[in-house]
Amino acid sequence: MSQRPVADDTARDAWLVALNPTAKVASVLVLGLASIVFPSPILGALIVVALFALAAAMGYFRPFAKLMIGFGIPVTLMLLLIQGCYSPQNVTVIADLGFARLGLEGTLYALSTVVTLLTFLGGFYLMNRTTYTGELVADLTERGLPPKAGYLVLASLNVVPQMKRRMATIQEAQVARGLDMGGDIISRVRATVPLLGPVVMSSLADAEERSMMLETHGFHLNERAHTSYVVVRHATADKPLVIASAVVLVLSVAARIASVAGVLPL
Amino acid sequence: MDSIIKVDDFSFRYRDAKRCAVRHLDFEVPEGGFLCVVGPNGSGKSTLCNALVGLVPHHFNGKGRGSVRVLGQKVADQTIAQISCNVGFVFQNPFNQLSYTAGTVAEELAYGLGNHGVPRDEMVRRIEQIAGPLHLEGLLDRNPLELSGGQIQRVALGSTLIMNPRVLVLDECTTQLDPLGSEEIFDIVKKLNEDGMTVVMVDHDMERVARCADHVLALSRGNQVAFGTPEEVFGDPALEEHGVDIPDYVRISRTLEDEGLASGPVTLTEGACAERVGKALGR
Amino acid sequence: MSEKASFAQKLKDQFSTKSLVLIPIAVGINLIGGTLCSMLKLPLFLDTIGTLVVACLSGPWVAALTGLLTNVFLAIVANPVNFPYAIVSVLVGLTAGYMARAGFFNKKSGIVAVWLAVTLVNAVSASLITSFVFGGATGINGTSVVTAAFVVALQDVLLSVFSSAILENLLDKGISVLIAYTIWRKIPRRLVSQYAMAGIADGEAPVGPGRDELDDKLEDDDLDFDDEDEDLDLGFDDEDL
Repeated sequence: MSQRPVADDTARDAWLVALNPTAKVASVLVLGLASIVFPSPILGALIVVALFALAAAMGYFRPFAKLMIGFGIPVTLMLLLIQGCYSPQNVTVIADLGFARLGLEGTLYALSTVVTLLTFLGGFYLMNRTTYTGELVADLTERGLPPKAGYLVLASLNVVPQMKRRMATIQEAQVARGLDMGGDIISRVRATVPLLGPVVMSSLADAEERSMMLETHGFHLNERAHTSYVVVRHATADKPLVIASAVVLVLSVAARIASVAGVLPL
Repeated sequence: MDSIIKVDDFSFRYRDAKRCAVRHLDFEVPEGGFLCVVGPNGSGKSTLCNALVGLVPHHFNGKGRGSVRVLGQKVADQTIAQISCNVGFVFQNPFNQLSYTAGTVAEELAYGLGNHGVPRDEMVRRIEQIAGPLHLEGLLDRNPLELSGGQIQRVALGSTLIMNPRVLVLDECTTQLDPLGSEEIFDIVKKLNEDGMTVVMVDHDMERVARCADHVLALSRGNQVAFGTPEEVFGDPALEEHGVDIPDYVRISRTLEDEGLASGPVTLTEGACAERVGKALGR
Repeated sequence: MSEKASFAQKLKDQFSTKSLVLIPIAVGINLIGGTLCSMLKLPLFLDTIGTLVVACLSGPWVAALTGLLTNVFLAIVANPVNFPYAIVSVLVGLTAGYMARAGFFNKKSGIVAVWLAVTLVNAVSASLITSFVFGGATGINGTSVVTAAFVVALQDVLLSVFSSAILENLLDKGISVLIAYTIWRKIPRRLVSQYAMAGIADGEAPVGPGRDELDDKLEDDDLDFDDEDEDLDLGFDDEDL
C-alpha cells in the first residue's frame, strides 16, 4: 500500500490516482470475483490483458510485467503438471507427455486458477501504486467502517517499516559481535532468534505507552462520527468504473448459470 | 487564586503490585502555575501524572483512595477523553506518542480532533495556529515516522495542544532527546506557561526546575516528602536523605554556609549563586 | 448470568485498547518473521510468532484477528494467493489461544502439545485450501515443488499436498512455538497483568480487567505497610522496558 499522501497532478498515473479509493478496491474485487465465476479462463485472460494495457498507459509496464510474469509462469507450470496431468476430472486427453497424459479438464481448471490469481495480483498492484492508504481508510470510515478497524489497518501498515529499521540496527550490532548470518541452514536458523527476540520484546513493551496515547487522544469516543484531515478524492469516472465491473460480474454469473444448465457450451 | 489542580489525600496501588505506587498525596496548583515534580526513579512521579490525566484509574487497573480534581471536577468521574480536552499529556518516548495512523505531520496533529469529530476546516485552522509556536511549519507534509526524536516530540506536544487544554502534564518529556531538542521543547513549554497555561512537569534537570518552577513537589517511594516553593523545598536539608536530587547552586550555597562564608536562604539560580560566591570571596 | 452474555463479556474484555494496540504490533512481528526468513533464505515462514504471543496475552479471538489481518495484508501488499489462507491463520490463533487459556504455555509438555496441535490444524486446513482453491499448488514457495514431486510419486493431489504441508509445518511451527514460548516467559509479568489473560501464567483463574475494582477503596493496611527492606516494585516507573 502506498504511504504517499501528496499527489502529483502532472504524473502519468494522475488519472488512476484521482479515482476514489473505495471505487478502485471495489472494482478489483468485483472483477476478480467475475473471473472466478465465469465458466472459462477467457474472461480472466481478457481482464489480465486490460490490466497490462492500463499499467502501460500509467507508466508502470516494466515493474508490472516483471511481477505478473515472475509469479505467473512458475505457478502455471506447476498447476499444469498437477492438475493438467493428475486431476481426477480429466477425461479428454489433449497431449501425451510420456510420463503422464495432459487432460483438457485439468488444464482448463489450471488456467482458470492462474488467470484469477493474476487478475487479483495485477489489480491490487495498480491499486496499491496509486492509492494512499490513509485516504482509503478515511473514505471507508466515512462509509461506515468502525474507526477501530481503520486503526488496525493503518497501524499494522505503519508499524512494519519501523520494526524493520529496528531489526536492521540489531542485525548490525549482532553481526559486529560475531553473529553468523551465512553458512548452513542450521546456523542461519540459529541466527534468527537473536534478531527476532529483541525486536519482539521492545515492540511488546511499546504497546503499553501506545495505548496510553490512544486513550488520551479520544480513541474510544463514538458519540460522534470520526473525521479525518485527509481529503478523499472523487472522480467522475468512479461510478462508471464500478458499474461496468458490476455488469461484468452479473454477466459472468449469468454465463455460469447457463453453463451449469447446459445452455452454454463452455 | 483558584486551584486548577487539587489532589486530596490520594493513594493508588496497581493490581498485582505489593505496595502503593503513591500514598497520601495532598497538594494544590493554582491556575497558571508551574509545578515541577522531582524524585528518584520509582518514587511515583509517573503514577501521579497518569492520575492527573485519568489514565489512573481508568486505564490502569488497581485500587485507589482519596481524590484528584482538575478544574474542580473529579478525574475518577470523567472519561479519559473528557479529561484530555482540559489536560494535555506528553511523556518520555517520542515514538510511542505517534498514532501510527498518519502519513503526514498534519494528519498526526489532527488525529485527536478527528476522534472528537471536529470538521476539517477547523482542523486546518488549529494546525495553522499551533504550527508556528511549535516550529512545525516546514514539517507538515513530512512522514512523522521519519523525523528526529526532538521533532516527533514537538509533534506529540502539538497533537495534545491542538485540543486547547488548560493544563499540560509533561512526564520526563525531554529525557530521550538530545540537549538541543530538549531545550527547544522546554522553551516552548516556558512560553506556554507565560501565556497562562498551567504546567505540571516531571524533570531530572534540577537547575531547570529551580529556575522555572513556582512550586516543587518532591516524592520518594510514593510518599510526598516536600511541597512548596523551590526555596522552601530545596532549602530543606532533609530532602537529600530521601534520595531527591537538588540543584548544584543549592549545594554551593549550603557549602558556603557550612564553611561560615555566607548566610541567608539557599540560592537557586546561576545569578544568585554567583552573587553569593562573589560576596564570600569578598568582592 | 446466561452463558451467552458471559461469552460476549469475555470477548469484549479481550478487545481492550491494550489488546487493540497489540494487534498491529503482532501483525508486524508476523510479517517481520516472514521477511527474516526470505532474507536468510530459510525454507520456513515464521509468520505466526506474533499470533502465538498474542494468544498468550490476549486470548483466542484477538489472536484470530491478528492472523486474519496478517494474511489480508500479505494478500494486498504481496500476493493475493495469501488471502484464502487467512482461514488457516484464524484457526491457528484460536487453537493457540484456547490452549494458552487452558494453561498449555506454562509447562514444557504443554508446549509440545501446542506444537503438534498447531501443526495439525495448520497442515489440514492449508492442504484443503491448496487443493480445493488452488488445485494443488500456489507457486510462491518451495513447497509447491515438493508437492509436485509427491504428486508424481503418489498420483493423488490431496494426499501429496497434505504430506508436504505436514513436513513443512512440523519444522516451521516447531521453531515458531519455541520462539513464542521463549518470548512469553521473558515478558515482564507486570506487563502481562494488564491483559485479558492475566493470571493464566501463574496458574490462577482468568481475571477480568477489574472494572469493578476501580470503585474499591484501598484497605487501611494496604496504605500503612511500608516495608523499608522491600525493593522498589512500583512497576512502570522502573525503567526496565
